[in-house]
Amino acid sequence: MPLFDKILIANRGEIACRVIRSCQRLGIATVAIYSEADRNALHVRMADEAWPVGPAPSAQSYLNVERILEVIAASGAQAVHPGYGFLSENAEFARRLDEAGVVFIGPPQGAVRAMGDKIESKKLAVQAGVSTVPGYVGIIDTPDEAARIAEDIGFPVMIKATAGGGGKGMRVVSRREEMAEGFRAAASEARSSFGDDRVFIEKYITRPRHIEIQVLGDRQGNIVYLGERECSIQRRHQKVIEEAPSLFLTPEVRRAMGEQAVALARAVGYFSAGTVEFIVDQERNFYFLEMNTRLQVEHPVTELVTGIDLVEQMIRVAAGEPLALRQEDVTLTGWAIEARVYAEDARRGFLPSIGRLTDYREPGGPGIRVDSGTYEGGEISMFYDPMIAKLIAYGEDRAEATARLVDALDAYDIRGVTTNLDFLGSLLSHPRFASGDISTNFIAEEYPDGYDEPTVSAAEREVFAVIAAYVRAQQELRARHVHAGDADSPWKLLKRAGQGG
Amino acid sequence: MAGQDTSFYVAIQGESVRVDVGEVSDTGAQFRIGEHTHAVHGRYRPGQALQELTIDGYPVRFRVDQAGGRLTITRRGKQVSTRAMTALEHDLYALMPAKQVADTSNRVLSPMPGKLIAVYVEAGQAVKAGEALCVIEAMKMENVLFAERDGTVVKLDVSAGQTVDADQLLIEFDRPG
Repeated sequence: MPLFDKILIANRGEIACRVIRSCQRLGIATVAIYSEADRNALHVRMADEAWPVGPAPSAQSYLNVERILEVIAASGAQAVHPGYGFLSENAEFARRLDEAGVVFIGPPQGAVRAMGDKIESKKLAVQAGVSTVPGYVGIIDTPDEAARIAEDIGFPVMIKATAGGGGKGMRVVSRREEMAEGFRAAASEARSSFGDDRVFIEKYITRPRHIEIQVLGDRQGNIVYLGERECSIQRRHQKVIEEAPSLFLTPEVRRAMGEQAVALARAVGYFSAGTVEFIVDQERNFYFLEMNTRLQVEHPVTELVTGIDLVEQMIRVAAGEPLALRQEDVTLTGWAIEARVYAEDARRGFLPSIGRLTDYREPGGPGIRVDSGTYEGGEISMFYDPMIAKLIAYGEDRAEATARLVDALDAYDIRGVTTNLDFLGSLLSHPRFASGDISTNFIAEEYPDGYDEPTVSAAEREVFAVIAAYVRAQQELRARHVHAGDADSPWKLLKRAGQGG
Repeated sequence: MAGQDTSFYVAIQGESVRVDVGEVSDTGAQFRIGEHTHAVHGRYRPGQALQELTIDGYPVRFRVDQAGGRLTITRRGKQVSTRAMTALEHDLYALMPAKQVADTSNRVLSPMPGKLIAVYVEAGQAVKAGEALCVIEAMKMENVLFAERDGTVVKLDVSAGQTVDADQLLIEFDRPG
């Protein structure tokens, strides 16, 4: 079956470049779209053609469905890859593409809808036999009722506002005696924040790890899982470091999680690439969190350990091809770790830093992959996500991948904006990261007052002192060369020869 | 470095490390710190941020940023500010008066470039600690600035809808009595 002749990428930055690269390899022509702020962006230069879609703010450009549909029609693109974010989970966009007879390179809309709703997705998960966080899905009216339910599911529990979000209206209750106060506080916070004091109860997972399963399905109903990614290193629910596989999973737990993820995908008729997120407690009990119905930011670590190009697979599935691999063909080889390089100032509370990349050189070497969407002279603007690149290292084992990634961070030359490169180096060099004793609380526990100049050991201080002394010694040496060099100055030679002025 | 100072004093994190300098060429140098000797090989590349040297046989990559006599070195997730001084500079440096930091605690500066999407206070208004002052939008994120302590707004130069630069003065409070 022929793949497409031309694909439009409805995105920007590194993911647009990433999708274009796979298309180029498959011999498919590419169409980029860009906002006024991205006129000179890398994805625009890489694509075979590029069309403007509006002013800098995303709402008027990358989310401008009408204009993007015009470009699709005018360019003759047969399919659209949405990347992540923007229109990747927008039902209206997918419906309009369908109407126009253009293929959406992603999952079926029914699955996107079903997984987009917290309550509905949890119900579906339960029906599909997927492990979910023990709790009570109904509304609880009194502290006594709450205490009774909490004893059923076991302390500690989390009281959550049904209307909740952003940490508001949430209380952890560890003992029965704390229930009355916890219940009152959660309900009152929920009322003042959301005007809705309804609460429900879930088991509270202490020191959870975030581990997710990549699934891939075709239109013929074949679904496989491509192992896991551990994304426990997060800052305020934003993933910072991701790796595959996870040091924490046993083969049995991996298989159980994979099979449940496939069961859930099957229950909603899923095809294309998707991710089932779980939280895993210290006893390796795992609980369904949510399903992301798109390609994820951290997909490269899965690609490196499975050898599968997920974007290519998405395109093939969208074109109607059946999967060429079965579950038993999927093997995990080696280790891959990804660090998200952001233009942000870790010393100023991780505030975004914007500006022009006056110097920009990416590291290379064995096992290093850089997924970026920028170049020297490129701009990090205030309009979009401040991610500069994803730096990914592959190695035979976790230690080798970590060492390569740390080396690559030291070799990444970025000037013009403040970056989190040294914070990433600090995370990856942390003894707790090396030991694998991580949880989603890692950054909050290890950097409680934010990130600042770390204290160095006596041995490290000596290395820094030697470097500082060497730089100073070299500068003095150069200064002397310049003076000594006067003897050979062409002006002097000219003078000596009697030709000078 | 015949006839020159034979030691540097490197200030790092409040410590002063004496580094005795041996042979120096443009491809290497010998140093001694206390009982330890260190051999450095490699060319320093002036003006470049990234440097690569061999120290005691190990390859060492690092980043340098130079400003005002200070050399900031970043390596392995650790960034430290250093100052390498000759013996004379070291003695003189000790005599330098400490820089007085201006008291700006009554001024609210924009922590980032972005767009002011709301200003909740006006000139003359009394504000309590913890009260929201304004909201700046950057990178799709809304950042609320809160008052650090009680005070009265004496100056307000900005209004909602305006684009602001990092460190731009937004609001000035009276000085606490």
